Amino acid sequence: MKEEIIITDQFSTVGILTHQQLDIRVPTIILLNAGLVHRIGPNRIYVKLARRLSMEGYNVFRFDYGGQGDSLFYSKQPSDDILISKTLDHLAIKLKFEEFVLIGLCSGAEDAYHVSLTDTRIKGIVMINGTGLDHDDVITLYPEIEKSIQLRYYKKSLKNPDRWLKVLRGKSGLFKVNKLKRLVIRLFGLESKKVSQQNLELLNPFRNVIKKGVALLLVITEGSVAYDFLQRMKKQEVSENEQHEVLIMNDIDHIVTPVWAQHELNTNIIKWLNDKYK
Amino acid sequence: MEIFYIGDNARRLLSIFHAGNERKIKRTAVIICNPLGHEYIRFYKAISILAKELSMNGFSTFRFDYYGTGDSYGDETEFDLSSSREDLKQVVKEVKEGCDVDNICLIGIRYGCILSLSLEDLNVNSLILWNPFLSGEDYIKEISQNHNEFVSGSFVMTKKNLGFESLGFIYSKHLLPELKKFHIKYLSTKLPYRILILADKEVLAKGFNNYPIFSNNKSDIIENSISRFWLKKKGQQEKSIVPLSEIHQIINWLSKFV
Repeated sequence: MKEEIIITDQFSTVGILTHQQLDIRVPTIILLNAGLVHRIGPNRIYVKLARRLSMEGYNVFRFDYGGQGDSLFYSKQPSDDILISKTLDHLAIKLKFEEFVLIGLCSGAEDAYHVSLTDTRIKGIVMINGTGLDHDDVITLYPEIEKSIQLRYYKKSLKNPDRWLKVLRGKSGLFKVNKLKRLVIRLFGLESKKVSQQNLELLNPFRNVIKKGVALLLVITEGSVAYDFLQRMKKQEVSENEQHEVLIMNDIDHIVTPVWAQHELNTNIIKWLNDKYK
Repeated sequence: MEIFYIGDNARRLLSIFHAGNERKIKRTAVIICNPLGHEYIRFYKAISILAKELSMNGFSTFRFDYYGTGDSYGDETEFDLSSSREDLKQVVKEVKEGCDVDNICLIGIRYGCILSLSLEDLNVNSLILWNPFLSGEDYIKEISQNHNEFVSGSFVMTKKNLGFESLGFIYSKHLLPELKKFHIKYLSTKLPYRILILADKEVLAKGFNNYPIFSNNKSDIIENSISRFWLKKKGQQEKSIVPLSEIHQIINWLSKFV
């Protein structure tokens, strides 16, 4: 495994290319910034994934958007989507191969989705806790989605003996009156009904990607709001096919904090990529 | 800014050098010793801005990832205090050979404070401890508590066969005993150089400067204006805080001192 620092356009992007040998004919894997976290990814997941993928024979590039990590921000900077495509231009010349798979978590997943609709060099995307929805839809639905995830959390807690042990030991905040009241309302009462009444079905955005012939792996962790958004999409349109796989991972938070989960996530991604491209 | 690797092929460390502004050039270079794990990620932007501001004020500044962290080679299970000591020694050597300077200042942040205090033979001239702790035990207790609080309010299921884990990172079996041995009270040597401590009110209340190591009357203390901004908390909105006030205090202190 070798890692090489790549800097383009006067530090508008700074990234690391991980590879075994450069002249290979499988898509180059691009890891996209997750929110504000720099190129190593949340919990350094991107570094671990890049190195495991390079052992499987992929070239992997992880980098910072302008103004993030060590990349500089310029006043006339293009949007992140354009910046990603420009980065692909650079890599296509360097690697003499024009096929890419984008992988992103959270906002990185949304970026992967949007770029795949316009850049024909993208052959596949892996969206980890992404929704593919318009920003406005996400903002409008968010209050409802937040209630939904809280409800799921309380339901899960009820089945967890450790949480009950905490309650019995008085270490849980459950006995705080307001919190308890809110919990009872959510579990048995009005707000739960309100959520189901507003259970509007979203048009599935992933079909746009599939129409373009781009393969999609959608990874959703139980602790992510992406799970609740997915629940609201029209079921028949979210069903899997050859080009579209949905993987639900339980007992994991939005940014994949547990180390066992990071390993499992990376194993699943590698398996999917190998099935598709090897 | 220059980004490059130092070290041999098997043990490459990602390094970033910010040359000092020539119009304000100082004879002191600064080396930043990073925090670990989740704290490193939350501090990243602050460290990057600190380095840029220092260089604009004439201080050549070097930052790097320890072996097994960040973009450097290796993984967390290979990281410990001994290995990061070797990394720091190598960086000090690089700076001494590569920069035309007379003095070196170390800035230790969280874990970086332990590291920068644990090397007495580096021949540096000043030390800045940003959010230090009194002992390794305190540190382990704190990161353990933070992890448990986060997990207990989330969907996460823990599995117990992976060693000591905190907020997404493994702490190696070599590191823990090394950390447990560290306590500021054991550092009896009076440090020959100036020290600046920036810490939260509750940490300062423990009487940091009463320990022998700081008893040469050359230490200055500043209370943080933003408390524990590096913590991962549920529902936290401010994930991108950069404590500019502390950054400017560091630069002012260094500028006055040199």
